[in-house]
Amino acid sequence: MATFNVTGTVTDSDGLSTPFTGSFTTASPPVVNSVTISPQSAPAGTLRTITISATDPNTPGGPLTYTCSVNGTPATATAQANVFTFTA
Amino acid sequence: MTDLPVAVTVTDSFGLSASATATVTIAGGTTTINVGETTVLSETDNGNGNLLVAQPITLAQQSTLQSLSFYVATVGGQLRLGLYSGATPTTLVAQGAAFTPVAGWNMQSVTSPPLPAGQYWLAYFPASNTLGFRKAETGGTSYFKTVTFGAMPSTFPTSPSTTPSHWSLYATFIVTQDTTPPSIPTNLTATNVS
Repeated sequence: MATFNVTGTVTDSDGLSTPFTGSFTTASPPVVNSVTISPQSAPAGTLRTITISATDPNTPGGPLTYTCSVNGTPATATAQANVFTFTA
Repeated sequence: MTDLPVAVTVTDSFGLSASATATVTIAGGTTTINVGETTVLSETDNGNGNLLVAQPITLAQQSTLQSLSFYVATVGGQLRLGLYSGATPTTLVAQGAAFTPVAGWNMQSVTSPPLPAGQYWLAYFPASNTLGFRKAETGGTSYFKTVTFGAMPSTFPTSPSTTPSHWSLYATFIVTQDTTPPSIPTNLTATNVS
């Protein structure tokens, strides 16, 4: 997350002026560090576990939501938001 | 060996998101087979909006459903494709998301756990009477029932009607080949019989 400071001056028709300051921040998208599939290579019909490691640069440890699909079909969510299972 | 794409998306509290991809490999020697009607049949058909239709296929060996393909001659509205099991269409095995088909073959990714050999039913479910497709009035007995378009019911509706027609609709399965060599027998003895 980057913070930008804003400064300026407001001047009226009499030449009187007042300075002002402010700031705004811009958020960065989350970063996907890795996608781990276990087992990655196995015979058809194998239950696989897909684990996503991601970080939120704006709020370290902040909440993230995850979606995951295999060949266009949604994988099964687990109790851990970043872990999915899929049989393929 | 078959590779399947894995797509993930992560979204933060600002609604900003990031995506990544990976690959699942189905190992052990696999091949794909198409089961159903793979040709573009000659007879035009439409008017099946809100009609859940299932036509028979026989799966000769344990396989995993990979996709369903349906031929559209005239576009119009959404469509769902799915697979039922049973001696008559009974239990929903898998279905794809509703999608807006284009003219020509429409392949939808629809996957399943490994399915034993047996009788299955390819199902299509148009939302609009405008959607046009191809059929032949042969190929066994198909079942159909009027249902409001949406997700396919987990159990095929009771008291469906039947028709001898079938449509240009097929499934692609992944067949796992047995690559385990046989074990070498031990403790064999031979007797001279001559």
